[in-house]
Amino acid sequence: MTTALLEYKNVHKIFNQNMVLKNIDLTIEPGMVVGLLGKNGAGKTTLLRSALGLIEVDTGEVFTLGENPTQLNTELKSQVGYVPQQAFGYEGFSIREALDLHSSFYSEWDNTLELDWLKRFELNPDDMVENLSIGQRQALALIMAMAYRPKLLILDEPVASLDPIARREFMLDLFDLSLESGSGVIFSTHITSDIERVATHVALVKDGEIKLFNELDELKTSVRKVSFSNETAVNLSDFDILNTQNNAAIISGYKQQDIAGVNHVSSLSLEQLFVELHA
Amino acid sequence: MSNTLNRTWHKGFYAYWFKECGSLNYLLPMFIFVIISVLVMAKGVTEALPFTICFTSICAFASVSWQSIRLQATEWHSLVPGYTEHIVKQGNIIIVAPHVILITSAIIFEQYDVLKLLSVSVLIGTLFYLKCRVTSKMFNSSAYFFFAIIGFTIVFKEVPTWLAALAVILNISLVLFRKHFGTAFKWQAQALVDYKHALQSGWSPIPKGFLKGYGQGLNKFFFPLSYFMGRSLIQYTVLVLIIFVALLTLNYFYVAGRPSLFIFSNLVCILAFMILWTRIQRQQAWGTLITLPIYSSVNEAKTAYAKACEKYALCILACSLSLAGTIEFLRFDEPNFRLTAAYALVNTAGVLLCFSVGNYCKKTAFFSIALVFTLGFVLAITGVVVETEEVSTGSLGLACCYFIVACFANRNSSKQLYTNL
Amino acid sequence: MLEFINVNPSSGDPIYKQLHEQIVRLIVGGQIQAGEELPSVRKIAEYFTVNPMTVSRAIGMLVDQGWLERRRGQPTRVAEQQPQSSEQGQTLLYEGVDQLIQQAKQLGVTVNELNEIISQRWEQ
Repeated sequence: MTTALLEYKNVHKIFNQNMVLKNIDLTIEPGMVVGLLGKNGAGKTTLLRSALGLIEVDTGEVFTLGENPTQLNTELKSQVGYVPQQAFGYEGFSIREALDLHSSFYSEWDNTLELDWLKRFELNPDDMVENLSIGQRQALALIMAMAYRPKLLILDEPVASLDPIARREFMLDLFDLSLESGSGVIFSTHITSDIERVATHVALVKDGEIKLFNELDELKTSVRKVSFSNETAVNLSDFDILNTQNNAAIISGYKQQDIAGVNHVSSLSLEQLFVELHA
Repeated sequence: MSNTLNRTWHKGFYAYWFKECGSLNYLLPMFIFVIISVLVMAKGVTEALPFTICFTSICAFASVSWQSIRLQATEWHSLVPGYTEHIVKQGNIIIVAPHVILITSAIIFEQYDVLKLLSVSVLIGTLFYLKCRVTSKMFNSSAYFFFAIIGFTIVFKEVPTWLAALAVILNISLVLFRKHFGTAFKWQAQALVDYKHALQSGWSPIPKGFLKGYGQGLNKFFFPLSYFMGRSLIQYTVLVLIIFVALLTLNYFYVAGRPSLFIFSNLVCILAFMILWTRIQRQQAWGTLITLPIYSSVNEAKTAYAKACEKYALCILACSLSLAGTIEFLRFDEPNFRLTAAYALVNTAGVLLCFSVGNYCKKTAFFSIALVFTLGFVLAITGVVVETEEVSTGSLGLACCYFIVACFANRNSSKQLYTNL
Repeated sequence: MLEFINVNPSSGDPIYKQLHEQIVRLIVGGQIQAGEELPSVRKIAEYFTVNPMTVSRAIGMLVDQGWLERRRGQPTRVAEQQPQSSEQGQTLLYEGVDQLIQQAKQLGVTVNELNEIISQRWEQ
């Protein structure tokens, strides 16, 4: 049995009378790369921040590396990597100075990885942090969060501003981290193709709720859009119904069986599923 | 574990504190004023001491308070093991070092009144810093805090011993019970907004929305200066008026005399600093300004900017004239035309010189350094005028020349204004 | 051989399924010969920038079904004796045919008409 790297148990969070997290149950184990997919404002960032102790949840529990995230000790902190959406904090430093200071807080810092990545992202160590483009800034934040090979890596829209080539290379490194170091990764995004390449698991977040959490492959085989001409003649009680539309429904739990009254069953790409769920 | 062991206390110190324009802005004046204070103590010029000492002390606290806003705006700082502690340690050194220098030199030069004064300013500084550690909102009022200290140095030339003792006791208890203020440096979404707002607005102390809607006329009058400043221009103008009235009232009830003229010059220069700061932060906006149909060329827009600065200086001239005139009249029951004129000319010229230097600066860091020296120069000249009992006609002539030179400097330097075009 | 394979992560089919299907096609179609070596899982994953777990799953299935052979310490190879290939070759067409039938039904084309169309096009 593996121990969970990150665990949410029945988590709720209310902000200004809005429920931004509803009944979240989620477990991340070593080797998992979880893509958190949702619209802007769906609660992804809040979900991630609560795993870091930046936000305290109202009910339920979060365990980060088995501990309350607001009380992580030094040892546990050096096993968590985080890249926030807005990179901020090293104004006034050159890249070299920033990395020099940052690495001094971690005993497991991998200098080779740092150098490789600087080259890969074409970062000049003498450039000032505040003069970097958003993409370069994000690349630097990734180096800072990954060069010590954290057990748990939390990324809030990590690759949105990277160019496609840098993005692909970064994904390969995520695989290395998750498979070779047995780490768990959770990253939020609204770019479905990134999830389809990288993620082992997908969590679909809508209005603060996890609508669907499954292995990506499993999700693609078991989620279908079914269309029918007569709503009353269709019996979908065997399935989880994710969304219903006029003469169509999105169902989960499909196992290649025939469904009476259904005209057409079609598979969905993640993007189609995402759009259909918000229709 | 080799990495961790290799970290010295000063790792990243220079970049963190001296290359971020917000904190540099306080640290540079602090350094200069530490040196001035020590020199002043060595020479025994007690009149200037209260101001220089308090200013040093406040600058130290303000820069650390400012950085604590930055910590609160940094999402990851608490997740990096030891990061917060490292920065706080450096901050403590920044607070303690200048105070140790001041106290040591006070003891060496036997200026024991300085110690009493310091005990009070440290108390106020500590209070401000402890509040800033838990909320980012507090820093917006840092300008009030500066004004309070300056006012304090006028009112209390000598701090009573009991007050100093009380301040020390309060200070110790504040430090001991600092945890009661709340969790320090906790990340909050608001902090980044406050940080960026403060950087752009130059720490405007007046709440948003103040005089909203009444400033159209002023905005038109000061265009395009108002274009860069937004609402803060009206706020600063109002601030000049408030200080003006406050000083007049003070002199009416309590004879403060010429030091209040010097104080006014100080404040006016600080306001000029804030105005320029904001303008430099928004210099990308030139593009939009020049596309307006009222200007046919970049140079025309720049000249219009220089004219707006002159108008602003004109307001300062009017205020200076009436302030100096009234104060002298209150003191001696007869007008002192030459001093009044000399003071107003010199004071306004100072503001114009600040504007000229600002016109040459493209980067905020460079601007901070250049302006600190300019302020030193400008205030020294004002100081000489204020200290002169009887202004001779020759001196008045010199003041006139100084004023004319400053006007030319402002107009000519405007051609050097950096635009992103 | 990787240049013969086309992985589309944004399709409705899981990536492992796409890999599985296309490798079977390549074997059945003879583009890769019995005994030929496959690149390592890592290489394949890097080539397509997909999660190595997915590649591993596809290869595992192919090994289980007898299309590929894996021996300890050696690269994976195409199996010498392939499972009833003719039958498998036909089943590979099922999906495409299903789609065709579906479209034909929507357009109101009958089976006979569809057969006719196929024979016509086949000749060209």
